[in-house]
Formats: sequence, C-alpha cells, structure tokens
Amino acid sequence: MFKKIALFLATITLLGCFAGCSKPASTASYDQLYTFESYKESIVQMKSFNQFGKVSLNKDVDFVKQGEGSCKLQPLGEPETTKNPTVVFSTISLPDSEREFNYMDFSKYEKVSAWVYNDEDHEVNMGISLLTSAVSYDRLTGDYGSTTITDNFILKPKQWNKVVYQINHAYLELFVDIHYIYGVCFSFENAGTRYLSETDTIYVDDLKLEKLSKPYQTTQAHIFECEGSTEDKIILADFEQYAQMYYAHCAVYRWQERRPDIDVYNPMLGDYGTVLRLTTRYCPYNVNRSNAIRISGEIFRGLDLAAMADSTDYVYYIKFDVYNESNADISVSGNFIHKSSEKTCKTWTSVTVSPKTWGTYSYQLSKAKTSTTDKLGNVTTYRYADDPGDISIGWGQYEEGPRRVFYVDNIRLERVPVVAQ
Amino acid sequence: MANIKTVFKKILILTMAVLICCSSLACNSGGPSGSPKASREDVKIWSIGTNEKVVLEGTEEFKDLYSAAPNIDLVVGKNEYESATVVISAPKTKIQSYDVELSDLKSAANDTYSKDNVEVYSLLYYISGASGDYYSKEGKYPDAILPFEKAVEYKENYVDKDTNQSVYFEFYIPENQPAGTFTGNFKITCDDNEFLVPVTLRVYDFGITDESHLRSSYNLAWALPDGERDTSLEMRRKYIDYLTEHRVSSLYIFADTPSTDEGWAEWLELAAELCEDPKFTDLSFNVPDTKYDSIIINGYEYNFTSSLPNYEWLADKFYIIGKRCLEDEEGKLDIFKRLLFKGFDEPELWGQSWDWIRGYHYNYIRAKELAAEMLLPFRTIDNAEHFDTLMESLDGIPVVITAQTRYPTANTIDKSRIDGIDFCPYFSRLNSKADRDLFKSMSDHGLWAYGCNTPDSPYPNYHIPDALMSARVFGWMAFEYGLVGDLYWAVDAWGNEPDYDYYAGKKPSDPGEGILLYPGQPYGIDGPVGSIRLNAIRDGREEYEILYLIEQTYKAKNADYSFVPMVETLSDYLYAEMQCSYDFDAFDKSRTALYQLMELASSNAGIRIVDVEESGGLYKMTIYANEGYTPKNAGVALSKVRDVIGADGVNGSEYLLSIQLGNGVTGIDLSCDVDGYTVSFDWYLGNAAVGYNAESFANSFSSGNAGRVFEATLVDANTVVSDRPADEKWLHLDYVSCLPGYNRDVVVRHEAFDDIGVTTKKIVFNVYNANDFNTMFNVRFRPKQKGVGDQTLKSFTLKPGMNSIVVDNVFALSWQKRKGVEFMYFTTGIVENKETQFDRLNNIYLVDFSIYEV
Repeated sequence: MFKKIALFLATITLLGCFAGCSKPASTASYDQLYTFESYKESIVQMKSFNQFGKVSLNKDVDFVKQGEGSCKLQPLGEPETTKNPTVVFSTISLPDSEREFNYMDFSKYEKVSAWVYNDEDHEVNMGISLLTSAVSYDRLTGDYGSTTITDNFILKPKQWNKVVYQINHAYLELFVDIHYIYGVCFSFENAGTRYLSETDTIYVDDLKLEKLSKPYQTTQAHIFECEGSTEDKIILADFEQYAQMYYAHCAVYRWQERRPDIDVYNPMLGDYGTVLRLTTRYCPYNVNRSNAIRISGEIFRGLDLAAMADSTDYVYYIKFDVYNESNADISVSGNFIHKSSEKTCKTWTSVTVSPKTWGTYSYQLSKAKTSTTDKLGNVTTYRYADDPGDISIGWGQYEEGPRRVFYVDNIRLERVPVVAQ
Repeated sequence: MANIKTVFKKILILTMAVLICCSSLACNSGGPSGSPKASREDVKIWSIGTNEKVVLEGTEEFKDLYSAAPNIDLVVGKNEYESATVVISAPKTKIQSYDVELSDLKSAANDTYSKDNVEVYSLLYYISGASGDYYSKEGKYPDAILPFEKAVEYKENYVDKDTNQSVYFEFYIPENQPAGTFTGNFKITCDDNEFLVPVTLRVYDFGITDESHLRSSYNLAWALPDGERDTSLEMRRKYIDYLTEHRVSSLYIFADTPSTDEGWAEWLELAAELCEDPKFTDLSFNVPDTKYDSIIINGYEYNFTSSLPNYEWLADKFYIIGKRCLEDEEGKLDIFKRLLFKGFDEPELWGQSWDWIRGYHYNYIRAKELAAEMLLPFRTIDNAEHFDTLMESLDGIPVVITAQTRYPTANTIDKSRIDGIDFCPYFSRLNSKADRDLFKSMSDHGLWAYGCNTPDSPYPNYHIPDALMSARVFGWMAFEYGLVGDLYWAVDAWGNEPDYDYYAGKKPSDPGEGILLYPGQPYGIDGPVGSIRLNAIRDGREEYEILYLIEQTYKAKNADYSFVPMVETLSDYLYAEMQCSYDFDAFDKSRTALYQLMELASSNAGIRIVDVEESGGLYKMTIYANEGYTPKNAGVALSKVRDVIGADGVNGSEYLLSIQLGNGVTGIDLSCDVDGYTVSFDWYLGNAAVGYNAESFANSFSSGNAGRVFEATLVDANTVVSDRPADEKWLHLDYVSCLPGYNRDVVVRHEAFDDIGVTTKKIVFNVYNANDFNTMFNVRFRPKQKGVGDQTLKSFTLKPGMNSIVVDNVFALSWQKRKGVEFMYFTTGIVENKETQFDRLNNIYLVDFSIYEV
C-alpha cells in the first residue's frame, strides 16, 4: 500500500514539476495579445500617433475585465486638425521586452476581439484597423497606406463593450503580406482639445487574436500560361475588384492641393471593364515636384522578377494601359522604387497618349536589373527586380484648364517572344 | 525482507525529496527565495559631498571612504533646497532590502525642523562612457531620483553584491523655519541591521526670494509624449512646473504653435498663468518663415534666397499678447518680459551667411515696431504706466543666436551691428574677459550662454559622468561675469522608440546629454522623475539668488557698492574663467562664506566688503560698517577711511583692511561685536609667493623646429633700465627668426613648473618690453598627461616698460586631467609673411617668475 501511495505521490510530483516548468503547446482558440497586467509587459509596447492623448496602465478594479489591470485610453488628437488619435497595440514584442511574443501572422486569425469600457455618459466612436507597415510608424497620418480601412464601433456608455474586428483576408492580401501585420490600431475621433479633463476615458482589456480553424491560404501567384504567344502575360491588377483601388496611393500626400482623386470606375470602354481613374489637379510648372501616385509593390508578391531573365526566346516587360480622357496630350511615366532602400531606379520610360485614346506603357524588365555605384563603391541605383517596391506613375504638369483625367488598367507582366518583335 | 522494505522506503522517500526540490528549483526563474541576509559587517554606510557621485559597480576602490562614519552636514538659507547623498555599499554580500526612516531635527533652542521637509530618493544608474568628463571610469553613474517609496513598491530597494547604492536626501527649508543649528539622526536599515546617520542642518536667518533673476531657456520639445505615453497639456504642464520649481523655464509651453484664434487664446491663458509664477522666466513660440525678396538694413540692401521670419505674422501675435496684458485688471501682466526667441540657431555650424542672419533678426525688429504701432491706440491715461512698461518689455525681447564656434570678426561685428541680435555662445566661448566683453558689446539685451552636446568638462555641462560642480558653478559664473541666462537644448531628448529604456541609457556616447528629466509612468508616477543634475542646476541658480540678494543688500546702502569684487575672491577656488576647478572642499567653503557674508550685511552692524584689490600678495579690502560698529581683523580694530551716508537711512563708515600674505598670514579673520554677540568671517587667501629670478631661467630655453631660432642671454638689469640694482640680472629674450605661418614661440623648461598644479593659486611673470611698441606675449603649457591639448594660461599685450603677467586661479585648471606642466611656451605672435620671416624680435626681458601657493 505504501509503495502505491509513494509511487502515486512521486508521479504527481514529477508531473507538477514538468507542468510548472514548460509551456504547454498552444491548443487555445486564441492568442492573448494583451491582458494589461503591468507597464513593462504592455504599455511599453504601445505606440501612439496624431497626439493621441494618454495611454496608461489602470489598476482600478472597477475598470478591469480580466486579471488585475487594464489599459486606460484618454484620446485627444492633434488640436486644430482633423486627424484621428490612434494607438497601436504591437503584435510583436519589441527588443529587450520582458515578454517575448510574435503574433504577426494574421493568416492564422479570424478576428481581433477586446473588451472596451466606455466610462462616459455618451456613446463613443472607436475604429479598429491593422498596421501593415513598420516603416510607416512615423507617418501614420490616417491618409493612406500604412493602415487598413478602419472598421467603426460604437461604444455604449458606462458598460463593457465586446468589440470584434473581423479580418478580411481576401481584401488584406491585395496589398499587404498578411503574415506580417505589425499591430492593431484603435482610433478615436479628434477631441479638439489639449486637456485630458475634456476628453473621453476608455478602458481596454483582454485583447485577443481569435484563431481560424485552419490558416488562411493565400492566393497563388499567377504564372505565365501562354508560352510563345503574345498573350503570354500575368495580370497583376485589372481593377475589376473594388478593393484593388487600394493598390494606389498618393506619393504627393503632403501637398493636399495637388493630390489627384483616385477611384475605380467603369468607363464602358470595350473590354477594359473597370479601370483605375485618376482625376489630376493643376500644378504650377515652377514647382519642382513631379505629380505621381504609387501602385503598391505588393502586386508582385510571389513573383521572382530577378529570375525572369531575357533570353533569345523571350523579353520580359512590365506594362499597363493608359486611356486619356482629357482634351490634351498627357505624358504618363513609370518609375520603380526599390523597396528596402526606397531609392528610385534611374531608368524609366514614359508614354504620351492623345486625347480619347488608349496607349500602353512599357518597361523592359531587364532595366530593373541594373545597379550603379559611386567612386567609393556605394550603391547609387539598386536592382529593382531584387526587391520590388512601389511603382510610381507620374504625369505631366499643367497650369490651367480643367482637371485632366486618365485611366490606368491592366498592370501586367508580359513575356514577349523575340520573334514577335 | 524487512530490511529490503526499509531500504526501498528510504530510497523512495529520498527520491521524492529530490524531486520536490527539483520541482521548486526548476520553476523558480528569479533568485532563490530565502537568500542569506547581509550581516552588519557586510554593510557599509558612508557619505559623499554634495558635488560627488559614486558608480554602481565595484566597492574595493571606495574602501578608504566607506570606513569613515557617515554624516550629513548642510548649510542652508530659507526657501531653498539642498541635498546630501549617503551610499550603501555591499562589498561581500547582496543586501536584500534597505529602508530609510527619517526623524525631526532639533535645535538648542528646542525649535524643530520637520522631517516632512525631507524627500528621500533612491538613485537610478545610467550606463555611461567617461568621454573626457571628470570621472574617468566607465560604468553606471547615478542620475534619476526615484522616490524611495517607489523603489520599495517596485522592489528595487536592494544592493547587489559588490555594488554601491546612493540614497539621496533632499531638504527644503520653509520660509518660516526658525534659524539655528538642527541636529538629529536618520535611520537606515539594511536587512536586519540598523545604522544611524547623524544630521546637522545649519539654517541661516535669511532666505532667497521666489523670483528667479537668472533667466533660462530649457527646451522641452523632444520625446515627452513618447516617454509618458501622454500628449496632453496637463502632463506637459507637470513638466513645466517641475522645471520651474527648479528655477529653469521650458521655452515652448505648447508642443505646437497654435494656428487658430482658439488655440492662441489657450496659449495666452497658460502664458499669463505661468507669468504669475516668479520662478518662471522665459517662454516662446515658433515663428513661421516666409519669402522676402530684399530688405534694406542700415542702408545696405540684402537679397535673400532663403526664407525669413514672417514679421507681419509675428507682429500680429505681439499684438494679441499686448492686448491680453492690457486686459489684466491689476495692470501688471507682462508676457513680453518673459519672451525669448531663438533667432537663428547655430548659424556657424550650418554655414549660414551673416547676411541671412542679419535679415532674420531684422524681421524681429520690424515685428516689434509694427506691433508697437498697432498697440498704440490702446494707451490710455489709466493704463499709461502699464502700457509704457509693456512697450519697454516688447523692445527688450531677446532674440538670441546660439553657438558661435569662431571669434567674432569684423564682418560679424561691423555690418551686423544692428539692434536685435543677442549672442548666446557656448559656455566655452566665454572663457576670457575679452571674449565676454566682445560678445556683450554685440548683445543688445544681455549675454546668454549655451549648451548643446558641447562643451565637455571642465566647462559647465550636464554630462552624467561629470561631477555636479561643473553644472552648479554656472550660477556663480553668471553672477560674476554678468550673464543674463543660459539656453540648454533639451531636457527630454530620450529615444522615441517604443521600447527605449529611459533609465538605463541606450546611447552612452553623450551620456545624459539632452536628458534632465525622466518619464514617470514606468514607475506609476504622474509626472516627471528628476535627476541629480537638474537639482545641481537648481542649487547653482539658488546660489545666484543668494549672490543677487547680497548684491541688493550692498546696493541698498550705496548704489556704488557691489558684491562682485568679493565674489571674484570667493570664486578663486571654484573656477578659472569658465573652467570648473572640481575642488569640492573649496566649493563648500565658498558657499558657506556666502551665508556668513549675508549674515554680516544683514546684521545691525551692516558689514559689507565692497572692494578688494590685490597686488603681489598685498590685499586691500574696503569694508563698510554702520555707525557705532567697528570691524576688526584678528581682533584688531580697522582704521576708518571715510564716513558714508547710507541710502537706506543708516549712516556708517568705510574701513581699510590691508593684509600682506606671508610670515604666517594666510587670510582674513574679520569680526564685529553686534549688540551682545559677534559676527565673523574667516577667509583663506593663500600663502606667500615663491620667487625665481631670471638667472634660474638661463638654461631653460630651447628653440624648437619650424625655423625657429632663439637666444636667451643674461644681462645686467641696469644696462636696460638704469635705476635697477647693480647685481640684478635679466634674461634677454631674442626671437631671432621663424618660418612664416608659424608662431614665434620658444619652449621653456624649469624645475619650478613641477610645483604648478592644484596647490597653485596664481603665477606671475614680470617681463620688461624695451621696445617702443606693444607686442603680444602668450603663455601656454603642455600638460604632462599625454593626449591632453595645450592650455593657454594668458594672452597678454606687452606694453613698453615693465609688465606683470598674472595668471589667476591656476589650481582650477582641471589638474586631475592634465596631471601637471611638462613645459611652457612663450609666444610672441605669428610670423605672417616672407618680409617678416627674419624680422628679429628682441628687446624683451624676463625679469622674474613667482608662484603663489593656495
């Protein structure tokens, strides 16, 4: 009997020993992003923008949903602007953090959920979006690019609100790599004050990333299918989906008065279907800035441009179609921006399109595989094909007359047989 | 079988015990619980001076210091702060926890100094490179002052083995605190061991005012929102108020410049509120630039390709500020008086042209003039006095140019000499009276001093590895040299990365530069955490207020009286020009002297030392005393020189105190019987000089390279000047030739130079110029420490006849860094061109050389 008791105790002890020491494999239906138990575990990971207001650790149990702490938000916003105060809950632990985690791979998650307490007597509007670019940390203007479209939530007063942000993978993967989501953004209306005493107080707790039953499978990249044919192409963006509009953003975002209007539009022009419409603005000649928008380099995701080498049989091109809706010639250029260096490739081309006609912009891919160095050997032009970033599409300046409109469609890679030229 | 069973049982029990031990050990990620506590012998409690720091790691080097009993002994006035540091060292065993318990202090008159006036902090340590500052050892230096209760709450009140933890006591002396000497004990408990630290607080019977008379502009414009995770004005205000309590002002009271009427209305209310705080001195806002084609300034037309401040915009802001001031019901609000603009930031560093600088500053003048015109219709009979004061303040708004790396030239002086420029050079660029006078002459609203990354030690700086004294003595320098304020580039320049470890310092290349405060939120504090450097700055500025108070007390008697001559004597051991001496004992003595001198002046005897002259060790001091009181030196009544009618209604007399140092006389021992008690002031002036005649230098000279040919020949002095004694020899210095472009200098080696160092008060060269023209004569030395640059001792112009070249405060030249004098150079200028290549310079004679010991 004693032997049995002793063996039982030993077994329990051993189990206890290992159970207490090792992390069990995660079988939970969610990953806990933050529970807000300590400053060093949570608040230190957070970054705020647009003069957010205050982010702090709350220990008042009246405003704690889980554990012993929650995150207290008092959003302000940059006074005298309309920018939305935004706070980012990082999905990856920062260097030297006491708590190490990496929840950047959003192909695993179905939704983001959190409990949010609105300590006001009125409803509060809150937006949730995803931070898609770490380099954009310092330029999170709410204008474009670095965050996804915001989903809005209404927080009911004096109660905990469960907010659930549904992740739209199909939309996301159009322009970002869903395996690298840098954070979850909570944004609020600009309070128009510098004083915390005049703004809302919100508490956030139990921020979770709820898992899919199986990870989302990203769409396979296109492949050339019509070998030897002039139709041997990969369509990268045909703007037939509304969401593809978000491939485009404004390179001249700082100059509000020069930003074109961007939308997707069906001009009923033959087989072209929906196109990207750019309604440009006047710009003085003496302003030494080019007008341009950018098409996200994400359109090349999954493609190895560097491996697409011209041969005696084929020549590779990046092309897109341009329709000039205005009444004057329009010159459209394409430029290519090396992703990690943000440097523009030195070689570029343009196409001039007459009014009410189509033209085709064409850029031989081999040009994107040249690099240059200075006397000291420093790279001055990077090989775009190695690390393709945005495509900058520019147009000629004009000083007077109505706003000029042109369309962009069928951004594509073409493998053109040599004999066909 | 029974035996087998027993053995099995024992094995099983043993196995279980081992497993249980394993389980508890394996799961414990921190240190083992129940670690041994430090014994009394393992704990060392000791104290350091107010200007000193002790690194965290390594106890062995402090063995001699920590064997002495700790104590806190402070001299203070009312309405001021003063601090003391006690160090807990754990040479052999970790101290698991320490605690501090304060007690009230009592005086002989049974008055109480309440313990509630003392704040206790645990110092946090910042990793620092030494970077040429006072402390040569790399390591972690104390800086942030964490309230002790937070150290306990966050379980940081322990001392690791072989480390030193500083505990910092900050005393505030209330205005209503009775004067007297207060004593008592503070208790420090380390693990189970109690230690008493004796405390003595000498409170003088006067206090400084809240008003800050030394202006300041400390930039709160960097990473506050990142560190605090708080962009609100409430948090910003907490920082501003914290700085203000330390007698420095945040220049930008808003993080941004308002762009709407509502925004400006808010700004004005905050500005008006801050102006009510007498400790707050300066505020500003950014002025947008715009393009101007050309401007005519004093008859010159300047064309600009770069933008200039929009003077019309600025005039509009001056207008609304003026209007707001005039709305003040009490007729006192004067925001203009607190305004300061950084006119052009570091132009020389950025290679900006002086034309642009002139245009830039001229637009501030235009804005002032335009605003004055716009405001004029609002002058009424009722507000005339207030209005006129405002206009005077508007005109007096400083617009400073920071930095200045080069000497001002004819270009910067002559053509740029327009109203509205005020200079704000680096501390190090004010290192001679000539430079200070030059910059002052070009500054319309007073001369400021500037710190931004440079300078380093021994100049005033706020680097963590520097001793606190270099920051603190700026208050003294500012008073003695007539500087109106200082401008420091940042107080919150932490990294703005989300994970920046604010307290540890990730970027030790410029340790602590731009960081005088730390964010409080990591420790649950709603506001900033201060630093011992900011406290040192405050303490120096409080000393400025004491100096100012004494000056006012002197002037109340007679407008011609000044405390400055005495300050020049008191500061002898604190700094040379703008270079800190790092003589901590001297600092304590000089500081105590301030209190004694204020006590003398404020006593019924009204004693003031209003003039000090010195020549060859002969001191002549002019001392004032009220009628009916006779000052004495060493118990001997001083002789009256003249009677004085007091401007304060109390008449008195001036007395002469004459002292020749030497023969055992080393200072003054001033006293006066005042209505039943005696006030006194002792001051050490130094020893007599040790002289070396010219003959001893006969073989000391060598010509050096660069075509330098030099000859030194002993001659009879009376062959040069007929009335010199027959046996006196002078050394004829004959600069025969030197290549163009090189200094005409000569190397001098002499055994007497071995005695020059921290014990040298001054050195004097007597040189005779037998020419009928002036010629320059520079003396510099090569330090014994390799790699430390030459140090100029004196740049002098030899006039025809006998010249006495006096180098004061030699001991203050950072000898811990320079180690001594290897040799000296005597230089008579650069040979500029071929024509003068062989232009022989002779007829210069070295007469003698003297070293005055401290």
